Amino acid sequence: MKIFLTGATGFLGQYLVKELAPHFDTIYILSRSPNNSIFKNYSNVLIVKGDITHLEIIENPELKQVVLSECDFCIHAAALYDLEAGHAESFLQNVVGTQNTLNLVKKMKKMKSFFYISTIAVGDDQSFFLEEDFLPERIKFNDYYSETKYKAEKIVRETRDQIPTRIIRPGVIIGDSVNGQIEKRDGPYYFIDLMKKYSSILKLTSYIPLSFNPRSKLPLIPVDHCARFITILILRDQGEKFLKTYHLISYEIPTISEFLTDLNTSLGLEVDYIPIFRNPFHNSLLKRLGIPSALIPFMFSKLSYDKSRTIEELPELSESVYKHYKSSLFRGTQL
Amino acid sequence: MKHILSLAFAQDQYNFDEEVEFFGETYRITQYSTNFDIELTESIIKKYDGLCDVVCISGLPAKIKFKKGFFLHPDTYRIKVAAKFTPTVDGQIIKDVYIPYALRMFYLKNKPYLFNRRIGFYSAALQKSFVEVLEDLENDLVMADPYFLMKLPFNIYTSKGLNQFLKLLTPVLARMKVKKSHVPNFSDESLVKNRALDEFLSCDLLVGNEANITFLNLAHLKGKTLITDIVSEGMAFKLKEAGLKEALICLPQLSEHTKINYSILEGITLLKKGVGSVINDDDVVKLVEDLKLAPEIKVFNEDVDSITTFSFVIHPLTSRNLLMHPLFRAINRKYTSFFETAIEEVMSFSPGFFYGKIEGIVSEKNGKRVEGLIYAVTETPKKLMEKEADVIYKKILKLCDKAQVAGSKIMGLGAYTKIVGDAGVTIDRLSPIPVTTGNSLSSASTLWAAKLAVEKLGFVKKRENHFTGTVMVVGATGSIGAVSAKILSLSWDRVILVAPRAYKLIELREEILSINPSANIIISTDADSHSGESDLIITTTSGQGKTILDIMKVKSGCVICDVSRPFDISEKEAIKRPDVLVIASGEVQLPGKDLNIKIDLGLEGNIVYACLAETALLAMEGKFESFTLSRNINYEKVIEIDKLAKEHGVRLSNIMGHNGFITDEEFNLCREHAQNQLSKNKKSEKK
Repeated sequence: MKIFLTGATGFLGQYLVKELAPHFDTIYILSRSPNNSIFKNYSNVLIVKGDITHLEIIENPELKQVVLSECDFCIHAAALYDLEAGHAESFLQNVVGTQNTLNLVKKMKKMKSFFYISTIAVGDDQSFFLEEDFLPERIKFNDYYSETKYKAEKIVRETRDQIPTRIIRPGVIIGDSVNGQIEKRDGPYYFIDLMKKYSSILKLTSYIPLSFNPRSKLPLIPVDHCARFITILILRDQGEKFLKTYHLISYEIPTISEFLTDLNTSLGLEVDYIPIFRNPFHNSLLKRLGIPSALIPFMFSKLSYDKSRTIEELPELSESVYKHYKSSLFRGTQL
Repeated sequence: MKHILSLAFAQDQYNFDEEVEFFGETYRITQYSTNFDIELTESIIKKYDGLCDVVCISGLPAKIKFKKGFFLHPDTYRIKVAAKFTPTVDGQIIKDVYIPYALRMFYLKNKPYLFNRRIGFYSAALQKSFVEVLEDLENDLVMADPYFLMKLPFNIYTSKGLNQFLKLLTPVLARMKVKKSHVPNFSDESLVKNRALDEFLSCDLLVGNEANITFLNLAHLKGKTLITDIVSEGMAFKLKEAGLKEALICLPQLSEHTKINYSILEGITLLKKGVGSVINDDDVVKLVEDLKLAPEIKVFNEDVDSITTFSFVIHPLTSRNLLMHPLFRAINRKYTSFFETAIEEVMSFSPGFFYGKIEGIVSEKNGKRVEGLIYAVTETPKKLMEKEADVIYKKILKLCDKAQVAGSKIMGLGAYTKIVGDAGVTIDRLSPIPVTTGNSLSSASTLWAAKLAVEKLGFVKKRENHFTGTVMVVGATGSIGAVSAKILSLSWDRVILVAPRAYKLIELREEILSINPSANIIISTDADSHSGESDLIITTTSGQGKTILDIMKVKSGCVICDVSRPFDISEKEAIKRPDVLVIASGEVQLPGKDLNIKIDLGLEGNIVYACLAETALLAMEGKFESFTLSRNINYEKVIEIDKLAKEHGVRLSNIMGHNGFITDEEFNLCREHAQNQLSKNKKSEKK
């Protein structure tokens, strides 16, 4: 079996290659720089030079023909994940890139199914429940990342008749569940780093006003779990013609208040976080402390996530539990 | 396969990459909705430059032309020149050439729709192609440009004013960035604040292209009519939800090819013409002819519940009717004869007024509910004929204006108002709504009455809807006479045409024979020589009371239908022959269970004048046109209105004689007399 993978040089991509390598004969990896040294340890990885924002994607026409005629699966994991990136940049990478990839996938002759890595951020944070197999109608977006990913998923859903598609919506990807390694410290790490930085001062106080909804859930998933589950899903795939959507988030996820309590214990603090309403003063203060304003709406999210199909087809998901990996999540801070 | 890159600048979530078949050829269209992001649009064009065959941009602010020069927004320019190798089109040439042509074509077919209406433009500067045509058609224009471009609280009404405004504005516009937030969103709060906007929204028709409307709050379109260039699938859904009544779409053919818009069409035209060429006006004309493009009305929300209104003008038949006015009720009945002439004189100076309503007319064909507004002028027939025609026209035209404001779609002229001057032609020309005299149904109903009377008496044998008798039309060369003769020739074995001038009769005979070659037609200048053979006599002369027909010579059991006013057969003469039935006209009744005539028309129950019924019929059918005008009655129109009346349930209710309705007893009496007379005749023959 052969597989074509975009976004392999990314954080999730590297883990994916590690998981996929034992199961596939050849892994074609799309990369803008062909002399990438990350994958030199793998014998079955073949780097293809190309760019998803380019119309043809793969530069070399012969290599393109090989990819088109041989690949059984395709994973589109390439995306620009940066909450502070501009609209044009995000659109080019996420929407144009996806549309180009889809056009490539349509031409793949042996294609069994196409795996598209979306995000849980496509859900409407004003609603209460995000269903699998359904994309809510949205007009307002908090940041360009979720906006462009939403539009991209819309395109993918519209081509469902032509390509057997599996949409995977991973939650907030955090570091390795074993050693806690992470490439880019964003999302919950902003808080961990902030608290760590000011822990000496925070020890003196017993109350901190913070604008958050204590019942908001943090849809975490460690990167190694995510890569493993995707690999399992690919290997189990029957090539059904209809579209399937999976929510890859840990079986048990913490609420924000649980997360903050755990953060307290890991830092040895005894602070009470008092939830307050969203207000401009507080927002500007957070911004000054280094937390991007795009993160604030996530702290008020009312969403809970449907996992019924994922649990049904992927019982292993129950092994991913917040309790087990929370120590490694905060490990950086314990030092 | 040719590859088209389409960038929808003013759209948000409509991205696709598909192969589309368009008039025999397949194109790959890749579309991105860039949502007002100039930077993104430019970077995508640069990415695709040289890789695709044509770049089609839609939704960019168009080139604004005014008298000396034009204004092109710097951002538009930046995008138009972004591609170095691939040609860039924006659909503007097609819009400039096709839209005026399409509107003009539509106008020629549906004149009232675009003539003399109040038309509002979201932004006339961006829809220049619409403005010129619509201004030519004597429409009142309201251009909301100041609000739409700059959020200023006033409107512009002429294209000259628009030019001045734009000239002043160009330096400001050039410095403004093209942003979504710069365009008003028509949210509910902003609508309350702005008076200029109220004026704009009160227009009959609103004009806007899809790019303008797509990001507005569409709630303000409820119950409105929109003129637009194109309506995409998503837009159609939104408009329907917003409650838009109907839209005049200039390019509905593209609705079938949902992925194609004006700029893509221009791109395809360019591709067909070949690389390196430029599109000019001739190519667009050819495209329009090849694809048979034409505008179309699409109904989004059909309001079945709504009531169509028509209007009708009546007048008092005698000066005695004037005394029914509440002002004169106080006058003691003893002195009325004294006041009559004075009141007739004084009241004729009063303007026309709203008299009352007819409610609850329901069509039997389509269930449409129709309501009649009855207006009255105060002249008695005598005064109407005395006065200058212009004075009466003015009076009636004022009522037409009133009727239009009240929402009427058509106006009917009742009784003598349709005889004044040129019988409605001038009034129709100057009126904001179509006008009809109702003569078609009047003549149709007379023929119904004649037919019914003949059937009721039962002296003429019938053979499959065909009478095996003789009918005589006296005054056959007149308008009603000619129409009656033509229609009767279809259902009677023998038709005798009588008129004073023989040469006209010969012409009429030729005409009838061309319609019905098998007709048996006899012509004569003397009525009495043939009156003994006729079973039905229709008299429509303008004899002004002269004796035209000697009733004593008429056959027993004959029906005389006297359409002339004043009557050809006076009451005295009619009494002389109890064995002959003299009828005056047929009155009709309107359909509808809960029909409520709230006014005194001088008739009983559901019965109305036939000319009023014609106006109501046209409203029920939704056929708002000047159906019958002038003194000539068209034979086809009578046939058509006859068909409409049968479908919608307008029926003959009663047959009128000299003294009101003719009852069944009177019929029976007449039949007995005739039978007696006939048997006497037989006996005398035997002897």
